[in-house]
Formats: sequence, structure tokens, C-alpha cells
Amino acid sequence: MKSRSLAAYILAVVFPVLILLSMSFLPVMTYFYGEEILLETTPLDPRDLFRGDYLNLRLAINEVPISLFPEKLRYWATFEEYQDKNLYAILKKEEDYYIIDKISFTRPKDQLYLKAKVDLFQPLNQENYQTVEVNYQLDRYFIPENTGEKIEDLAREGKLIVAVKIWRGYPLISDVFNK
Amino acid sequence: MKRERISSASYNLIMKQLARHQKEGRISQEQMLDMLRTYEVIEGINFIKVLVTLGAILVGLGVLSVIASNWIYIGKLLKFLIIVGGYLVVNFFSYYSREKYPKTSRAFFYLGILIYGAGIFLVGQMFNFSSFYTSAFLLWAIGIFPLTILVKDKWALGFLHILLLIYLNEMYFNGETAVVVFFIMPLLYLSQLKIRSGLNFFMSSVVTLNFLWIVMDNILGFAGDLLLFIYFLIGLGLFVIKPPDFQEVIHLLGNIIFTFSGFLLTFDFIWQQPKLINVPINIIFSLSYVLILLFFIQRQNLLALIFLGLTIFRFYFDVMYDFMNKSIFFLVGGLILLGFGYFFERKRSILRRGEIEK
Repeated sequence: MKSRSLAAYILAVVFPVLILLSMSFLPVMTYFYGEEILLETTPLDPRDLFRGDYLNLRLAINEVPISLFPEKLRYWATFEEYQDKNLYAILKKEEDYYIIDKISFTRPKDQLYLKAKVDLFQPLNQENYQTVEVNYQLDRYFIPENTGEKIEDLAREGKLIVAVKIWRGYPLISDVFNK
Repeated sequence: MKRERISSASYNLIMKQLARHQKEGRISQEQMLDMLRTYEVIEGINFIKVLVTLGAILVGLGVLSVIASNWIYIGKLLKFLIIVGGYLVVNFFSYYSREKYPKTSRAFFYLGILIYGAGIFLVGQMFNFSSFYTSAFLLWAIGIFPLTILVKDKWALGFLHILLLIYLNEMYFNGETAVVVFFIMPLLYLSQLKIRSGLNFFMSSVVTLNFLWIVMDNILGFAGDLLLFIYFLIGLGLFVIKPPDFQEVIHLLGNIIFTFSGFLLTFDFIWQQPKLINVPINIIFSLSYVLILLFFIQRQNLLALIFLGLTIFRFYFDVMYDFMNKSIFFLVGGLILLGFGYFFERKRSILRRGEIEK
């Protein structure tokens, strides 16, 4: 311990702080530079709705009709080659809320989009699917301890609106409120 | 010369005895000192150490639960600054008290680890990270790695292993393979150069075997019965090899793995290929398993004896429960257990005697 140089010690102590800061980079950038949109929620199975101090959310855009997916995912011939490719959900505004315009393999230049995560096992045709569950990493909203009952009821009935800021495809939930 | 590690109580007893022999003229002082030099006292549980470490853990848990309660009266940014500030302050104290108060210094170091963990969960909460946010435990482990190596703390390194195991299996339950652990594993073994510890070698091996299991299941798609059988062989292998270092640890790990996986493989529902040449495969396996156990029991292996008892008892339950009169069933069951108890006690005393003679 005596021979340990102070510099190495400082570096080792600061290292975790750097990790904390780097974890915050994307959300903070999104907080300052992101564009805010509103998303509707849908009713949710109440069983594991409220665990501890956060709320599970289910958004209307989580369920996407297969017609909005790229053609290459519809047939076996091209499915296997494309099934693991990155997907981007391009958004469009309809009245007050945003919905999915289409799902694309390419990152759009001047439209709002979210990175979409989908587990696909077979081609997206009518026999296999009607809609596909898409994950945008927007399923959890933390609330203060013991304040969840009212908001829990609203979430169960799908009456909540989620305000989300988006920056370069990265989403940050900024607020959750009653319709 | 390899020094034998004993507790300080045993050391004191030996010292007293040798001093008496020396006083009464049976051995010279030189001989006495020479004998004492063949022992090394294991650092036992120290009251102050327990107290300050417990204090640090309690404070750390307090910080974690404040974060978890998501208190609204402190703003998010302020909370973050408190966490980072608190982390830096306790590490500052840890550094400056390291020579004068080494135990308190260590406790502050542990507190820093917990506050950093709280920070990770705070960031997740501040920005509503999704439920797929499994990397928290990985980031916790990676973050504390450099400082743990620098201060050479084997308990923190053990904790780091547990964090990695949580991360590995959380990913596994989400159907994913935590590939990054593959790159961390060599570092875990390399850390032995700085912090030599059997406990951590054991934990590193558990991480490795856990990772191997996940790779064989997720990537190679092996069936459950094959996986268990492979682990049974791995366990046997680890139990019989004679590595140059950490032999006891490796044997213990192998012993646990082969007895436990072997026991699971005696059940027929584990096997997807139920029959081999018209005989249930679990029966064929069970017979060979019992033979292997008997072989190791004869070489004084206690775990093998326990699992032999379990295996016989489980077959007894499986086969006899439906056919026998309840009172006879319990009577015979009890006798089997009593018999094993006796056998177990006898083996253990033989084992102890053997050790004393050695």
C-alpha cells in the first residue's frame, strides 16, 4: 500500500465516476436537445404492473402491424439474411399523438425515429402474425415511493399519456400524465 | 518450507505447550522457535474489523434505499451530486486513514463500492431506463475492479464475482449470452497475481463454468440432459486432476459439481432420450453413478457419501411409496437414514484420525 502511487489511486477512484457520467450522456443530451412527442398507452395486464417504485408502461406503438415492416422480412428467401439487422421505427404525427409510419432498415435523415428491438423467428406473413411486439426500451417509469395507486389505475385502463423526448433515436421519458 | 496455516487459538496452545517442553528441558529454545516457524496464523475475525465493516455496509444500504425510495424532495441533479460527492469523500477518507487506521480505511473503501452501486441505480431511475437495463451489475463490477486490485481486497473481489454472476444469469434469463464476461474472465484469473485467494479462484471458476453452460445452451443449443452429463464429466475431471496450484479448491469444485449433477441425472424426467437398449437410461446412469460414489467413499470422500445416501433414499421413495404399507415404509426409511447417520459418523471419525496421523 505504501508504494502505491497517488496518481494510480486517483485514476482508480475516478473511473467509476466516469462510468456514471458516461451512462448519463445520452439521456442528458436527449433532455436538452431532444424533440418532445406524446404517445398513447394501451391497457396492461395488471399482474406485474407495479413492482416496487416504478410503473410498467405499454405503449400503443409497441404493437406494430406486419404491413409496416420491410418486405424483405416477409419471405423465407430473404428473412434469414435480414432478421438480425437493426430496425428503425419511423414516427408520424396523427392528431395529438405520434404513431408508427413504418419500420425501416435504414436510419432516416430528417424524420423522428426510435431504435426498435424485435425478436423474429419466422417470416412476417399473415399465417404467422397479425401484429408484432416491438420494444423501444420505453417500458418503465419511476415514481416516488407509495404514490403509485392512482397512476397505477390509469395505466391499467390505458388512460395515460407518455411524453417522450427523442434525440438521434434515443428516447427519454420526460413525463407521464392523465389523458 | 510450506508453513501450515492455523487459527491464532491453536497457535497459542502450541506455543504454550512447546514453551513448557522447552522449560522442562525436552527441547532447546532453538528447536522450539524452529517448530513455531512451521506455522502461520490465519488472520481471524477481528472485532473492530467486523464493527466498521458492518457500519459501512449499513450506511451503504441506507444510501441504496434512499435512492430506491425515489424521494421527491431532493431534485434529481442534487441527488446525483450527493452520490458522486459522497463517493469521492469516503474514498478520500479511505486513502488518508490507510496507514493510521487500516481497518476503518477498508470500511470506507467498502462504503465507496456501495455508494457507487447506488449511483448506478440512481442514474437508471433518473432517466427511466427500461427493464432491459441488465448492464447495471456489469457496470458495477467493472467500475470497482481497478480500485479493488489496487488496494488488494479479496472480499471486494469476491463481491465483484457475485455481481458478474448476477449479470450473467440475468442476461441468461432474458435469453441472451453475456459475451463481455468472456473478456473479463482472464482478468479475474490474472488478479490472482495481486490478490492470491482460494476463495476468489473458486468464484472465478464458478463464473467460467456458468459462462460455459450459457454458451452451450444459448449458442450451441445443447439439450438439458447432455449439458448435465457434460458437467458431470467436467466435475469428475476437476476432482481427479492434480493441478500444481489451488488443488484443494479445484477438487472441492469438482466434487460439488459431479455429485450434484450426477444426482440430478438419476431422475428419469431429466433425460430426453429415455431408453437405451430397452433399459431406462437414468437407471443405467444411476448404477454407474453409485459405483463411482462407492469408489470415492472408499477414498474417504464425505460428499460422495452424502449423495449416495440421497440417491438411495430418493429411489426408495420413488419405488416403494406406492407399494408398501405406510408404517413399514416409514420404519424402513428411518432405518436407512439411521444406518447412513452411523456410517457417516464412522467415516468422519476415520477421516479425522487419518488427518491427525498425517
